[in-house]
Amino acid sequence: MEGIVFPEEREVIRIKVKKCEGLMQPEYRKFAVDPQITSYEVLRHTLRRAFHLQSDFTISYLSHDSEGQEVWLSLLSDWDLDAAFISSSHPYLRLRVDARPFEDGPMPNNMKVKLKRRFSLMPKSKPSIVEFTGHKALDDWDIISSKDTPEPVPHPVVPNAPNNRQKPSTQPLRRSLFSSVQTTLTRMTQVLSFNDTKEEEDEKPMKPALSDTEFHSFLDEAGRLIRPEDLRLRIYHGGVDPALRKVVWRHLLNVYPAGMGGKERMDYMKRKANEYLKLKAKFLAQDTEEAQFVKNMVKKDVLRTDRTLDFFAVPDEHPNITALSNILTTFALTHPDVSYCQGMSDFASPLLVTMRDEAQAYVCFCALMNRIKPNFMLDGEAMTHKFQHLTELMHCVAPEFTEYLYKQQAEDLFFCYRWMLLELKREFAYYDALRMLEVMWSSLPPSPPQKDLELIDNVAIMANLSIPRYPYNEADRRQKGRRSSSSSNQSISPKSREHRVPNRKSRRRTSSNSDKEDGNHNSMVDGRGSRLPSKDAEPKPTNRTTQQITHGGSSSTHNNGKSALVPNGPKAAIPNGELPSPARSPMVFKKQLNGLSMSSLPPPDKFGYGNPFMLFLCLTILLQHQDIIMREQMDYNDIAMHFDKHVRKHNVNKVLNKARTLFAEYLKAQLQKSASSNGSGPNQC
Amino acid sequence: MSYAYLFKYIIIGDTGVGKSCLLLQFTDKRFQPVHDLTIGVEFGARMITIDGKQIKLQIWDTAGQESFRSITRSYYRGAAGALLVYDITRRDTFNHLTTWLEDARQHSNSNMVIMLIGNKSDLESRREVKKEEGEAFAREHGLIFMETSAKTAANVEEAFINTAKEIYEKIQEGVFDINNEANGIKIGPQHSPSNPALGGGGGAGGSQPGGGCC
Repeated sequence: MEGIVFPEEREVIRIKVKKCEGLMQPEYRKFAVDPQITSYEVLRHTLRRAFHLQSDFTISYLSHDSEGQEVWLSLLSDWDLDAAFISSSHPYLRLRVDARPFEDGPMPNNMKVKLKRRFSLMPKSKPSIVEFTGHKALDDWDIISSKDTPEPVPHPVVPNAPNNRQKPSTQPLRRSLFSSVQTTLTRMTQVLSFNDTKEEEDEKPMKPALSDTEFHSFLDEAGRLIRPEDLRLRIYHGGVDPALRKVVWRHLLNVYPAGMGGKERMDYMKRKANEYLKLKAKFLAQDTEEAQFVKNMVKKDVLRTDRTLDFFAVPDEHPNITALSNILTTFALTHPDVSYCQGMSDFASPLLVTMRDEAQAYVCFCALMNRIKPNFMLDGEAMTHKFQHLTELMHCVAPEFTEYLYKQQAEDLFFCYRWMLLELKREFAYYDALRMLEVMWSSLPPSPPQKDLELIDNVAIMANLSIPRYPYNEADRRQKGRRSSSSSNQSISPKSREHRVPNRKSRRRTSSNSDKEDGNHNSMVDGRGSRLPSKDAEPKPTNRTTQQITHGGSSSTHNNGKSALVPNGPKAAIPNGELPSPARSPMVFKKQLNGLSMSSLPPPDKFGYGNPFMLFLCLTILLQHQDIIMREQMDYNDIAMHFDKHVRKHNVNKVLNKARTLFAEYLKAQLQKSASSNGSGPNQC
Repeated sequence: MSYAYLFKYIIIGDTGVGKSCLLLQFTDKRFQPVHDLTIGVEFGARMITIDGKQIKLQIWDTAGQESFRSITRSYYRGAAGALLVYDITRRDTFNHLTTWLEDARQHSNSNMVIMLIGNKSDLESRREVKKEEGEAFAREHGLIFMETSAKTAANVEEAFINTAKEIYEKIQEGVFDINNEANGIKIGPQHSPSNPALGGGGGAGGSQPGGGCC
């Protein structure tokens, strides 16, 4: 198999299986599976049930060698299964199961007696998986769906918790977390903070990853996801079995509109994949200067993205690299308001590696970008808020360390920039990062698209038609932005923004209240010396955006040189050439923040610009290095270099465990606050 | 490790011109053709000797893309030296120098020493920018200039060290106020702050600025 293979999506793969077991008469079964949700493990499980296998067994599939000869190949992994689906499933996939009760090879021929004895012990469960009709016509075959999966699994969520605290019945648990703080926090806290003492043990491995069997317990008989919040909670505590990521991630990433059955999801993905292929064909064929600019940019960067990973450790022209490039270029050209920014390839890479399919990865990428797009906007607003919130969190949890950072003039925490921009994807080894990402995604409330996930931002395209965002090149663009500061940018924005705002809001419940509090924004940041933590200060990805993008694109017109990233924030003094002297504002700032408690931090729907758990991951890493940093008296550069050295080296289990503990504390405090103030949220400072 | 001075550098220039590779070659003496694209700012440091004095270079390696300008700009101010890098095989990266320079001048302190670097000099066959053009640009704007190859290490040491020599000379001339850390210079623990800039008296360090000079 060469390179990445993009099979046309097929809804159903029909399978004929022959079971061989010693001298016993072979048995046959036929059934059909949904290739999208059938992993190797699911297949094994299906076969075990179908033949009532209790012993170990091997699977092989019938393929053809280069001369067209039939050949049985071992089926040992998801990779093999994909290959089997792709290459050998017309008109049906022929499998052979060799039951192997003992260790001596696939075809023992003298075990009859023992086998019989075993068989007699078998439970008489009816074959529940599919209609194992054996002799029926193909048309009668059923697709495997959730109802077919095995015995009901005891509810998997947080098994360590006292039974009565986390019943599966707390359904909309996570959903409401961010939308309705008070009610949600009650339940959220109950669940998330149940075992904080246990999770103090840093080294403790996570709970087992979500298995396929367990996953099916979250689906109803039509394959509909019935308890999305519980599913997330389950994954929050243990992650997802890697073999199941392909399927489960699409749920976590909010690819599917709510309420779809298995068949509908397959149709949907098929339709979306086709839609992508059309978009790609159309937009990649563009030969405008802008398109050329984007293509060059993307090309340069995909050659520098995860190239040490096997999947990308291939020649530059390899289909895997091309696929990544296609995804990013198509996205940039169909979303001219964000276009392409460095860092996006870090988000797209895990999706492609996991989906193993360019079109599906693109769909997932669009879903993910719905949430993280603000990270890449030139206005820098999202990042600004994240820095502010992380600073507040540090004050709250580690005042001594924070004070040290002040002394080193490192309180801006800019060395965390990559962490926050890429949501820590690069801070862990690749596969550890996948685990971290899925845990983080599952800490967010489900936010399915209203109807269809949009793969193109038509409004932005319309608005940009006459205004190439990349006149010639990056620097010209920068200059242009400078010369005609507001006009060049505003001409992009107003229409598209107005349209996109409600759109985005509908997708992101997290920003639902933000408009009202618009005016309070500046109360949070009022120059270095008077920053006040304020409950009212929160992300508002709405009205100010237009103004801020102007600011970002042309901030060099500001003589004071204030950074667009931190318009008035902590580091503003640096561009002004006034490095903070110890006697200056930091002390004031500190006084105001000292004594900050978890409850006075912004609520979960605002904290971290809608991704509070990410802040706790950052916090955890900082805390883990606090001792060495202070002991060795590291200065700003030392600290930054120290963390640069730890790229891809942090211990994912330790970090996740500790972050969950801290996050639980935070939620508990928020809960108490909202309970005592009935939601009005007194501000301590 | 103790040092007489600490100089802060910033490396700027378009994306893909080899900024991170230059840094790696200078700090680790190796070339890594496949590396991560820089997000925001990354950091490096190395000790050098000028005029018998230990000088620590602290280097901020910035991301070239526009989207990171807001964060990278905030690093200009505290820098004593800047390496402004273009790629001799890509004319556009040379064309953008004016913009970069404006940006740097606007956000940095006025005494910042800027070294113009035409990188990838090993790719002679793909050259799009003549050495003379680089020299002319440097002359016109008062920069030091060198062509380097992060791959072969040609002139990499020199680029960083000559910049340091220039800064060192400016210190000795009293141009830099070394008590103001915002200039990107810090006096090492072995120096008395009340007696700055009296290192070698000579200034031998600054006498060979490499290529053209201001």
